[in-house]
Amino acid sequence: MIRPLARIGIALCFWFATGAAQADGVLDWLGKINRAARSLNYDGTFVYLHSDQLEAVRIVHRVENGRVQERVISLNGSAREVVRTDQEVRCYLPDEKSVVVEHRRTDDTNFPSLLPEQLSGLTANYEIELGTVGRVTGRAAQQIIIKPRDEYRYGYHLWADQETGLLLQADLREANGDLVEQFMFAHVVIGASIPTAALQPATRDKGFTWHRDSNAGAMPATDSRWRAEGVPSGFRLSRHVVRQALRRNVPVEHLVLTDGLATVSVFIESIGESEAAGMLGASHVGAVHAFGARVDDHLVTAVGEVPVATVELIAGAVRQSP
Amino acid sequence: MRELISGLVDNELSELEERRVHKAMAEDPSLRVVWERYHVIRAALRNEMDVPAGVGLPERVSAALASEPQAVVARWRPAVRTVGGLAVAASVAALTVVGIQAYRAPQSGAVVVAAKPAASSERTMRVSATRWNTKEPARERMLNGYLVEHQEASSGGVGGALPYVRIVGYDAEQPKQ
Repeated sequence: MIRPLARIGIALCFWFATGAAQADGVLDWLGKINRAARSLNYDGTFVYLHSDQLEAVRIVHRVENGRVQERVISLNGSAREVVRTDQEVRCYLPDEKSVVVEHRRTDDTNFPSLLPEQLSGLTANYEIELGTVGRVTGRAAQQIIIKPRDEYRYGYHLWADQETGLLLQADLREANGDLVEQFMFAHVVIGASIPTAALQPATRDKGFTWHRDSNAGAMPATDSRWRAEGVPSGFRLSRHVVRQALRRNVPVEHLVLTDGLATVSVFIESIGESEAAGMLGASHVGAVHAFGARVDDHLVTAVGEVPVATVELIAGAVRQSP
Repeated sequence: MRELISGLVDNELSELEERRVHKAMAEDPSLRVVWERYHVIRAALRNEMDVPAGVGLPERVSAALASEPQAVVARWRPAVRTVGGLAVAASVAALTVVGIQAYRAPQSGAVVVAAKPAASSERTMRVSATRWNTKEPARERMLNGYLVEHQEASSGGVGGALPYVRIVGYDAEQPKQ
């Protein structure tokens, strides 16, 4: 016969064991989503909803010998198009009759994977749990619910294809649950072979102006005095480089901070008295917020898919060390 | 009638009431001015006046009503009320202007509603397009460049599964001045 106390002890053991298994299961799913993006061919159309705007977007994604090629085309409004290889990103902007080319960093010709230690570190800032199995774009999908532990980051409701792990739907939510932004595949074919022609840009670029970043990439900012200190908890510096600003002939320092899910970029460039006024304060597009602050004759702009308070705090936390 | 117009702007009317308001506005220019004013107030309250609705919008709407009443009224109905069970704040005005192809006649500068969206100069008018909510072109250009670089830098996390969506989703269209 088992004594009541022992019985509670056994029950607790089970509870902890199942709790831990549950957490592992969730992190496995996040890893699976990340691997799917690096290993699967897919061709589909998804909708992107934010504020009161609804956009339809086609995506063609091919992985060949571990190299990702991708074409993303807007299906409404002007036909904006992004073509991406492991060497460069080309943005075709018909309205501006221009093509913006950015060379990719050599250190991540492949998608960087979410490492297990990064995944377990997430739980400090997010509460992560498996949701139900539902149906998205006609496929069985596992829901993953990621709730932020504070108001400095968004939560995510993800639905991953049960068979392949491909992300089929992603909702960004504020800490209070309000929807910020939503992506959802309406139709997708996974795993079929994709002809090279499907990855060629459809934009006729005759007469377009080409903007290429003048240097072949970013250089590590080894002797920079710029620091981001006292940023919201969990955000760590993952990259610090100097490069030419896209389409503008000025050097910019680029700091990348991440909490494992959300990423905030900080851009620092020197600025003249006359230009400063219009560049300060908050702006946003979809869930991406930006905040410009003036620090020592420099314009510091934080940009990221985080609430406005976070970019404001991060922009304000950037200083030059003496 | 003013209450009904306010209801129209706030998406609160039944289909029958909407038709009644549209008909009244088609007949009475002063009601169209009221509609525009309510819309501007509503947009200002929501802070979504990226592109001012501008004087002349009611005229374009009425011209569209006169040329093709049923089709335009059908467009006005807020068809996208819920997506995934979530209320979508689709303002009447945004739906209206998205549906109307308009162009500016070169000689007079007057805005004309195109009967067929075929002319090369025609473009879709949008009140709240997908764009940075700033009125400074220099800042917008700078933020666009930053956005491309930021997307590139953040391709590791969950966002990496759906990269570059925001750039493609970014709509640089705006009405000609």
